[in-house]
Amino acid sequence: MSIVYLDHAATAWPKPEPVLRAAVEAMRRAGGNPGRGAHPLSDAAAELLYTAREEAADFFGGTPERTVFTPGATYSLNTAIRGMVKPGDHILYDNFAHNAVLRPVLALKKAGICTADPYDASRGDEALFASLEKALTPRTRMVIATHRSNVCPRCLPVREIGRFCREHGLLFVADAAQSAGHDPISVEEDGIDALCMPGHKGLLGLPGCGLLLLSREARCDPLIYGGAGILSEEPGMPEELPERLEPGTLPLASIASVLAGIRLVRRLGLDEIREREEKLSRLFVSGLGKAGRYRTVGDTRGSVVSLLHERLSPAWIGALLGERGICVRTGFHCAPLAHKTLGTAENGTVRVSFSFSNTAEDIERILNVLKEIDEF
Amino acid sequence: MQDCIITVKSRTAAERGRRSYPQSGATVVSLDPGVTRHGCSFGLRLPCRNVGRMKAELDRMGIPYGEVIGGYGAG
Repeated sequence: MSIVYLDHAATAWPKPEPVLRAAVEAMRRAGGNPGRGAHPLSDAAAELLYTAREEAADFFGGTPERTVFTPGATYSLNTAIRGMVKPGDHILYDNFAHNAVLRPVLALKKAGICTADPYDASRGDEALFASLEKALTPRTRMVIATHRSNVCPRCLPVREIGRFCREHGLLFVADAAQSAGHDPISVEEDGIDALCMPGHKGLLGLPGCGLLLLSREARCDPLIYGGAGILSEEPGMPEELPERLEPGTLPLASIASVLAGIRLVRRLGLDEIREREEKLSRLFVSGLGKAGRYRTVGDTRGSVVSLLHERLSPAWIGALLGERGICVRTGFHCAPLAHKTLGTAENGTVRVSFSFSNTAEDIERILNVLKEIDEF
Repeated sequence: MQDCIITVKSRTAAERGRRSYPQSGATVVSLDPGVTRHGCSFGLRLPCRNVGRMKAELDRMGIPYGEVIGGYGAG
């Protein structure tokens, strides 16, 4: 059975050959522990690691020493949120927030450390800023924005939110889990204090590596403590970034793969990537009407389309698609608040997410199977 | 020709410094914990004649550095 992979919002697949080769090469040529010695293999590892920092920082408008490698976007978000707030702070988060945002925020709230409220990002940008203004309190210190939802293609205006945060003296955390490698985003230009992303989605790398890019002003405490390769006799974590936030041994194979992925994305260009994804999305949505009693949920422009059937449940549709080799995701996609916002909180949706590597034949195949399912 | 070592706190800072002045001939070296009295640290080993320019580059990049240790290598 040949596979049609339409679950890129969960993780990119197949990984491009240069990405896989980069990971293997890293372990062959640079298998030492970066920053933990000065022998040839450790040096090679440290140089590769710094190159990855430098190029990631350049691509996302950051600086190399404030580009932190983490185990993933969830870890980046937890570090940014829990590491930057202080007791008594008030946090604002949008109503498309993923659990990687929602749960750390609600844990802080439950522990009595912070207060937090959602703002409405579902009714256009003007309404978003009205909602933000309304939700502000004298204790508000942080705004978190889902750059692009993982349920529908809603894309929040990060630059304007960044400006709003600067004007109000607030920290700005951007969740770029779905946008990195698809949409332009920059720490410097968008006024972001903490930009969080995975390496294995739009950046095409292997799982196990995420990024946290901090602004020059951001001060972030670590979540995890341990060896940093420097200042070993100090009882606490060093103040120096990125070491302060990178305890333990880094996953160099995964980091090397992300570096290769960033180079691929840059070579192809974000405009070209978006154009291809949106073309596939349009093709899919235009064919969906003829496939049966389906409807889309929320916006349909972008690489993620959520759909529902008049009678059949999302899980059932997903299982039938899976039996025919078509990979999609169903349910809440770890974003229950987004489903509440979109009115799909009962069973969630079927999420079809495209990549520039998909083809018109992939779309034809899923539409044909959806038609069969409708007639089931 | 004698080499000197400019001490810096981290491998990242050392690598950043080295790349900011590639003509300096600097290499990154690991230092004995006793050198900084705070544990492991790193240094930029380079010909002593390039120390002034490298320090200027480190200042320009905002990279903190510590003492300069001289007298390495054959004369």
